[in-house]
Amino acid sequence: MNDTKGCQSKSCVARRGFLKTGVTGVVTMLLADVFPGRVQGQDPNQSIQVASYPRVAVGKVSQLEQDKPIWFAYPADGLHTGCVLVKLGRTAGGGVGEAQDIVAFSARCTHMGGDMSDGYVADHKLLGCGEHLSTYDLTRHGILVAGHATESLPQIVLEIQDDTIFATAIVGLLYGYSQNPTSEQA
Amino acid sequence: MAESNPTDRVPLPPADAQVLTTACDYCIVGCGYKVFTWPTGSEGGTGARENALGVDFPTEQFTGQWISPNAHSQCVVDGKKHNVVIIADPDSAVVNVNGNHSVRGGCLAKKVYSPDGPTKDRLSQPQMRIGGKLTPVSWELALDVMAEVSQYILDKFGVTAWGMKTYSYQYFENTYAISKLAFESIKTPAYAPHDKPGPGNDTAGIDDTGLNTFAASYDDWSKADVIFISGTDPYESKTIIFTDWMMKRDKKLIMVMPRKTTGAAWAEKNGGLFLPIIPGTDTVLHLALARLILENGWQDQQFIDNFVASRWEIDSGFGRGTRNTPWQWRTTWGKLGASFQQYKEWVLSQEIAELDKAAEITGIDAALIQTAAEMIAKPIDGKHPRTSFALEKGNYWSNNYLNTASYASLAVICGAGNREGRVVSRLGGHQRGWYGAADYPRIYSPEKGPGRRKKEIDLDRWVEAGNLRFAWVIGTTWCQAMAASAELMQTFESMTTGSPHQIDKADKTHAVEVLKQRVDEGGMFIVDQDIYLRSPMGSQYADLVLPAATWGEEDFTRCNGERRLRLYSKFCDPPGEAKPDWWIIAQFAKRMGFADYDWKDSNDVFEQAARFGRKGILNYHPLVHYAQQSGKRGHDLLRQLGTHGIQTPVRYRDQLTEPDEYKKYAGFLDDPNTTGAIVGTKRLHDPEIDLGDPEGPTVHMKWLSAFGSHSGKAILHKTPWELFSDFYQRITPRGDEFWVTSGRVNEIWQTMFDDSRRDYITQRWPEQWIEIHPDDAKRHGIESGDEVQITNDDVLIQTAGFIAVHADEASFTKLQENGHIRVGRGEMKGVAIVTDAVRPGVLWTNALMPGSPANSLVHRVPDPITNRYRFKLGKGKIKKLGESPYKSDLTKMSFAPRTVVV
Repeated sequence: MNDTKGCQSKSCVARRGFLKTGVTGVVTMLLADVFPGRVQGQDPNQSIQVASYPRVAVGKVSQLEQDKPIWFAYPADGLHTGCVLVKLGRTAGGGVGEAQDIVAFSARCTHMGGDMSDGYVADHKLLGCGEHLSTYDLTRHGILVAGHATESLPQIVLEIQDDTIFATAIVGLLYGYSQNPTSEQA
Repeated sequence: MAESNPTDRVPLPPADAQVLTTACDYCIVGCGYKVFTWPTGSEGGTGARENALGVDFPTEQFTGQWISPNAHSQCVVDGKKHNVVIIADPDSAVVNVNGNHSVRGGCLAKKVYSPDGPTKDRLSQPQMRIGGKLTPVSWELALDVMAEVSQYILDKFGVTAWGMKTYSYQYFENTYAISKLAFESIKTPAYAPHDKPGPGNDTAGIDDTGLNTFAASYDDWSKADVIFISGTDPYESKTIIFTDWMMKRDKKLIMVMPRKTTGAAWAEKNGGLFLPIIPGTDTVLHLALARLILENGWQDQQFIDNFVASRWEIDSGFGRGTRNTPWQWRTTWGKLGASFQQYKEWVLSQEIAELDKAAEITGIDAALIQTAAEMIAKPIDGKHPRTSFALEKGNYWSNNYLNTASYASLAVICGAGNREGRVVSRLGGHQRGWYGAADYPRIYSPEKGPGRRKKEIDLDRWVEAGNLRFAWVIGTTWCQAMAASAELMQTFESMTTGSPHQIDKADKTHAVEVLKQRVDEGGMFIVDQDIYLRSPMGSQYADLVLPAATWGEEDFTRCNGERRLRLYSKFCDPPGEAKPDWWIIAQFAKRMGFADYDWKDSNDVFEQAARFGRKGILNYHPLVHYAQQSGKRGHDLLRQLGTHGIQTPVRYRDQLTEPDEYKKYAGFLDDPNTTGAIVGTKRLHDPEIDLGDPEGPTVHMKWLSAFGSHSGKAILHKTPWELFSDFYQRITPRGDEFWVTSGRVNEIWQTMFDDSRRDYITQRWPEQWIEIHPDDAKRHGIESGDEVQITNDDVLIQTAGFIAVHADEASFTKLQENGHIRVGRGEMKGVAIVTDAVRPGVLWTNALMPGSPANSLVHRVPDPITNRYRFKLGKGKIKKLGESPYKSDLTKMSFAPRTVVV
C-alpha cells in the first residue's frame, strides 16, 4: 500500500498526463443505484450527479482483512487520486459485502490535501489527517467528525462481482480538482 | 450519498473575474480571504492563464489554492446574477499563512445572499406585526413609528426605559453609530452587548492587573515554549491561532477544561497536559499552582522586581485608575490588590491552595498539578521557561472576577505579560469590532455597588423588573444568549404579545397610539434588526423587524485578535431593501432631531469614528490622517493593505526606524508621495518598543510600553474564595443532578444563523447534542444516539438588589437573605453522545444551538463584583426520551470521538 505517500510534487505533476480532467459525461443517478441496497434511512429516490467513471478492480473480498486498509488509485494513477479500501467490521453507509462494511474513500484530506494513506484509526473507524487534525467517519459516508475540511471525504462507489471489488464512481470532488478526473480509458 | 449531496465539480473564476479582499466574518482570528465574482454563464479554465487564481488545476496540496464546492455560491452584483468563490488568501503571510483556514471560513461563500439558494430567506423588507402577522411596510413607516413612540417613552419614562441590546463586534461603522445613538444622543444606561447583561469588562481581573487582554500578537504564541490555556481549546473555536501559531515549534500546551477536545488531545500527545477540571474551580487551581511556584522559589523574581507594583505604588497611585470607578476599590485599600510580598504571604496562608486540598476541590490529580507548575515556572538550567497564558470563556464565564484575577497573578509571577513569547491575552471569541462614540453614561445607571460606586446596568434584571418600555435588538438573539433563557422568554412574551394592545393596520397614527397604550400599561415595544428572522425575538415578540445588510454587502472595517485592522470589501448586493445598521441608526436619529448623522457612506462613518478611538488600543486615527494627507479615503487606503492590514494602534512617524521584520508583521505604509509613514503595533506593554517621539496625530499611551495601571506596573491580587463559595456551594449539583456546561465546536458558528442554511453543516449537526461520560450514561440507560432531556427546576434568578449600600450587600448570601433570589425552571433536549471526553458528573452541550439553549439551565445571578453571568455553571437532571433517527441513520451526524489525533 501507500507507494505514492509523500508524493507531493514533481513526479505527481508529471503523471497528470495520464489523466483527462474533462469528464466525458455527467449522469444523474438515483441514490439507491449508487449504493444499491445499502442506502440507509433516506430517500432512495433522491437523485445525485455523478460523472461517468471507469470500472476498476481494486481488491478481493477474500483477501481483505478487517481494519487493514489497502491503498489504490482511482480513477487512475495521478495527482491526489490515492484512495483507501477498508473492511471496517461495522455496517457502513455505502458499504458492500455481506456485512456491508467494505468501503473506500479518497485518501486526500479535503481541507488542504494532506495525505491520509496512513491515517486509518481502527478503534473508531475514522480516517484522520495529521496536518490540521481533521477526522472523517468512514461508517457515515466520510462525514467530518472534527476539524477543518469543507467537504465530506469523497466516497468511492464499490461493487462486488464474485470475489472482486470494483470501484465504479466517486461521490464528491477530489481535493485539488475543479472536476473529477477520469482515466483516458474511461 | 448523504444528505448534503456533494457535487463533483466547481466552476473556476475566469481570468477577468473581479477580485476583492476581505477577512472572515466569523471568529476572532479574522483570516484573510479573497473573493472572486463573475457573471453566471461563463467559467474559467484549468490552465493557469485561464483562471483568476493564475494556477493550474488540479492544484498542489497545502497551497490554499483549491476551491472546494462549499467555497462557491451565487450572488447578485449590481442587480445581475453572479458566481462567487471565496477562499482563504493563498498569498497571506500573516494570520492564516498560505491560505490555511477553518471549516467556518472555508464555507463562507455559502453565507452569501443568493435569491435562489439556501439563503433566500434573508430579511429583505421592513416588517410590522399587524394582526399578529409580520407584514411588509415601508422604511418610512417603520422609522416614523419608532421615532414617535421613542420620544413618547423618553419624555414620559426617562432614558432608563429606552434600551438597546446589540452585538458589540459587527464592524466599527455600525457600532460607532450604535454607541453614538445610545450614549451620546439618547444617553441611555439601558444598554447591553450581546454576551452580557450590561457593558463593562469581560475579564476584570486581567484588566485590574494592568494587562490589556489583546496585548499579544499571534507571533508571540508561536515563540512561547509553554502555553497555559484556561477555559478554551483554540483548535475548536479560533482554529488558525492553533494550527498556524501554536502547533508550530516544539511547544508544550497545557489545557484546562472539564471536557477533552481535539486540541487537548494534541497537547497530550506532544508533551503537554490536559487538566480535566471540575467546573467553577479554576481559582483554586491557580492558587495551588502559585503556591507550588512560591514554595519552590520558581517565580521570575527579576521580572517581579522590575514590573510588579509595590504596596505604595498601588495605594498612592489610586490602584489602576481614577477614584470611584469599579476597579478602584478592587485594587486599592488592601482588599484585593497586593504587593508581591503580601500576595506571597496570602497565597501561602490559603488552605485551599495546598496541593492535596486543591486536587480534591478541582478534581485534578495532584501529580498533574505538580507537573503543570513545573512546566510553566521551573527554571531549566537556571533559565525560566518562556511561558505564555491564554484564556477564554470557560475561565471567565464560570467565576468571573476571581478566575481572571488569580489567573493574571499566576501569569505575572511566572514573568509573563510584556515580552516576546511571554504574554497574557484572551484568545477571543468575536472579532474586535466595537468603536465607541461616547462613554457609557454610568452616572444614569440604576445600579450601584456598596459605597458610592455607580455600576453598569444588568439589563435582563431591569427588563424582568418591568422597567424597560422600548427595546431595539440588533444582531443578537438576546434570550438564548443570556442566562435562565426560558424564564426571560416568558417575560418578553408577557410584555409584548401578552399585551391587549396590538397593531392591526399599517397606519402610523394607529400604530403609535397602540404602542403608547401598551407602554403606558407596563408593556414593551420591540424592534428586532437582523439578517434573518430569529426566534423568538423576531418571529414572536417584535412589533417591527428590520432587514440588515451585512458582511460582503457594504465596506466595513474591524480588528482581529491581534488588533489587525482590515477592510471587509463589499462585493455583492444586499437582499431587497436591507440596509447596513449604521444607515438605519442614522435615519432614526435624524427623525429624533439628533445632529451629526449625515453620513453619505460607510467611509464617512469610519473617518468620523477615528477621532473617538485615539486613546484606545484600536486607534486607527493616524491612518485616516495619512489617507487625507495623500488625498485618499480612509477605506481606500486600508484596501491597499489588503488581507495583511495593519495592527492597531496605528502610529504615524516622520521616518520609520522599526526593523523590517517588525514592519512586515505589524503592517506599514510609507508612500513616497506623502510626508511620513504609518506603522502598526505588534505587542502592547512592550518595554523594548521603538516609539520615538510622539509625531503628528500619534498618541503615545502609557500601555504601549508599560502596564495599564497608574504606576505602569502590574498589580497582583488576592482572590479570596469566600467571595464566591456561598454561591458555588448553593449551585453545586446534588443527588442525581449533573453540572451542565457548554462550549463550541469548529463546525458551528454561534447560533447557526448561517450554518443552519449549509447542508454540509446540518448533515454533521442536525440537532443539539449532549455529551455524557460512559459511567453516567450506563447508570441512566443512555446510549449514543438516544434523545435525552435535561431539566433544572432550581434555576436561581436575582430579581432585585440594584442598589447596594453595605459592603457585603451584593453577596449571594445577602441577596438571598433579602429575598432577592427566586427559583425558576429550564430545560433542553438533545441527542446523547456517550464519551469519556467529559468528566463524570458533567454534561457538556453546544452553547447556542437554536431551539434548545443550554443557557436555560444557567442561573441568572451575576458575579456581584463584575455583573457577569456564570454561563458555564448550569446544572440539571438527565433522562432518556427515546431514540433519535441518527442512531441508525448512517447519513447524518457522527458519534465518533473528537479527540482522535493521528
